[in-house]
Amino acid sequence: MKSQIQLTLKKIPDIPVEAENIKPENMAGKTISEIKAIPILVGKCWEPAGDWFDIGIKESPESDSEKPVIDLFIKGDLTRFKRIGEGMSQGSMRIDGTVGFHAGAKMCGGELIINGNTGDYLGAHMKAGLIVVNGNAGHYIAAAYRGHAKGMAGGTIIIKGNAGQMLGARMRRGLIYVTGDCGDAPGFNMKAGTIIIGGTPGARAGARMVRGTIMLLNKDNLPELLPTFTYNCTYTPSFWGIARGVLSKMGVQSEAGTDLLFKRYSGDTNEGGRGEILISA
Amino acid sequence: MDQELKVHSDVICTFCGCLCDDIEVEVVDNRISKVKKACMIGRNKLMHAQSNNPDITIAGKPTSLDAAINEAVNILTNARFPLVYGLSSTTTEAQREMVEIAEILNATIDNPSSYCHGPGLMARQQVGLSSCTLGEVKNRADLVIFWGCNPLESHVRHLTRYSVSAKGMFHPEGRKSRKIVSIDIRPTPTTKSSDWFIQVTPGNTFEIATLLRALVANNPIGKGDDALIAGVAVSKWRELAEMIRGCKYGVIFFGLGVTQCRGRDINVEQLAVLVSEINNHTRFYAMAMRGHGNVAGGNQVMTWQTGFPLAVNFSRGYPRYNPGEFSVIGLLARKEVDAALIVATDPGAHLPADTGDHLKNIPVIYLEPHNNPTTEWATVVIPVAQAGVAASGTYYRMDNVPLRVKKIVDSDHLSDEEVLKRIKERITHAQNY
Repeated sequence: MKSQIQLTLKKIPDIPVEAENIKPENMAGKTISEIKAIPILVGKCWEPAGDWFDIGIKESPESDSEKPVIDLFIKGDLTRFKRIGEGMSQGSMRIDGTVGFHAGAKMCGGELIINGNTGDYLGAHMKAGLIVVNGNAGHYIAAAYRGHAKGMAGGTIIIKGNAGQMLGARMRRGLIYVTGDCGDAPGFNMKAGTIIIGGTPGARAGARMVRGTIMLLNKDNLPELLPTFTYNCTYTPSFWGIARGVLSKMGVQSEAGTDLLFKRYSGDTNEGGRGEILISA
Repeated sequence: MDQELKVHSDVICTFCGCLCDDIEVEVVDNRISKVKKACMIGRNKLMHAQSNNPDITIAGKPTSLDAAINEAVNILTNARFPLVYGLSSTTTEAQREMVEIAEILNATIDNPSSYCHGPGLMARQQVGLSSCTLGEVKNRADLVIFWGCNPLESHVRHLTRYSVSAKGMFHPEGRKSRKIVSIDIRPTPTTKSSDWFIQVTPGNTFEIATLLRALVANNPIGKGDDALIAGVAVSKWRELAEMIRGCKYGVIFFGLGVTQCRGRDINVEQLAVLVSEINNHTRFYAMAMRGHGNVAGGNQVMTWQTGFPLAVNFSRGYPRYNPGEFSVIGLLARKEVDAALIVATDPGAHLPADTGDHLKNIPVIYLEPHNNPTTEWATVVIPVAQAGVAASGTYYRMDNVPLRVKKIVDSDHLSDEEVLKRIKERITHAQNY
């Protein structure tokens, strides 16, 4: 048997709430009254989670399937709730509703599924784990916080809608896949890692990128690349088939075949030119 | 009956970031009667400094100062997510009080730089900025680039006092010995007085800075000389890069056309790296054309008191910084704050209408020397003595040089600093801090 904890939002707050304590490892093995007492920062005052959520625990049989049993369900419009799942290291959490800033930031393990839209800084400084967004994501996904040189350092983020600006800005390692479009400057100053964009990116893809890979699967309506990217060749990178297989296991089916040709551009030459942008030919 | 005439010399005009410190002001019977040497904007600001003062009001009804301060304290101590905002047109002494009030209240504090030159401050934190003083520019600069700014209309005496026609130690001929380049999206009085005006398409600052970096450093580019970047041929940008590399001492003055066009902080980040790399070839600097008189001081005070120049939150009892999350436009657009203390700025006129409208739905305490759009709806209005006219203190010029502004007339009202001190003391008492 395994415990499943369900949190249902009672009322939408009129001021911001910071709820980094809401994550699976903080709930596991606790009674309802103990979970109700978990503190969250409402405005400038700490209040018990029980004031804001109806809490239920139900036992479920261990699943034999490969998919892990969800440890924590949260339901409601959590637009004003920031930092949910921040620093999450294990277990799984599913949110049915929109969630605010910093969801899954600094995450170092586990699985976070969001059935709704997210605010900015989703998965910022993430080290490991998986985030799946069945909706649109905000700006600075997997990015570095202000003043930091390196953002996401590992893990996977899958966004099945659109993403905002500065997607994967300054990321150091990891994989980001966006099914839809994204805003300006995806991969800005990225140090390494892979960003795959199924739709149309905004301007300045790969600006100031040092290393890493940006793959653009949709060749239509692409904005012009920065002048500091130079064309190299047209080919099918061998890792594309592997990446496609990995994404397929995560439920992302790309229409593009394994033999898809890409035009390779290297840049940003101002930063050494060791990064690459691969555009579907 | 004889009128008492006082002539004040070397008065500092507090209108813009230039802080011209050579103004002469004549005062007759405690009224400013004549202003000499100031630009038209500065003269008007000083001549009208003593008129159109608001009354002390609560919900539009006249009251006493004591009652207004009590009401302000009541509102602020009962708020669950208050905002302290302003700082740009008052003294650093008053700004210091505001930071302390924000800390005591566990509030969020921001200043107008978050929607003007704040992106430049974020970029500075990321990559630094090679900068200088206006005195150095006057004495040494032989190449001046105005990028996305129009000082002839916004900082009127900048060109004559510091950057273009000023006669300096190594440039006794002034204008004749300097090259002036303007990069802007449309002709302006500044572009017309420049040696070379490069008219660019809007929103392409980042592309220009990227290309200039490559051209200055001789990095490979994926475009031919005929290709257009921001509507201008690469060959023209190459000419500019050669001019930059060939100068002895160059400076870029950048305005809101750089910081607030598409890209914002990454524009300035790229520009700052460009300037840093130009220093591999020659001496080169960049400086923000700061707007309001002491907006630079607001950033200075917040940085030395909290560690961050803008958008600081104290909800957890210690300062945290994140523009976008804790900056005034974002907070109001998301309708997150439930009370506001606003000093020395006019959100009713400056903020986007739909964003500023949230302030009309929450209690607002407003300290301001003059009637303006915000005094019409603020919950508590406390008139104050205008800094630099009826109150002395410290202001920071756009190059971050601190200057002491004078008190040249008496006022019936207390200064921002004095009112804020009283508010702070009563909050401290109310919260048993």
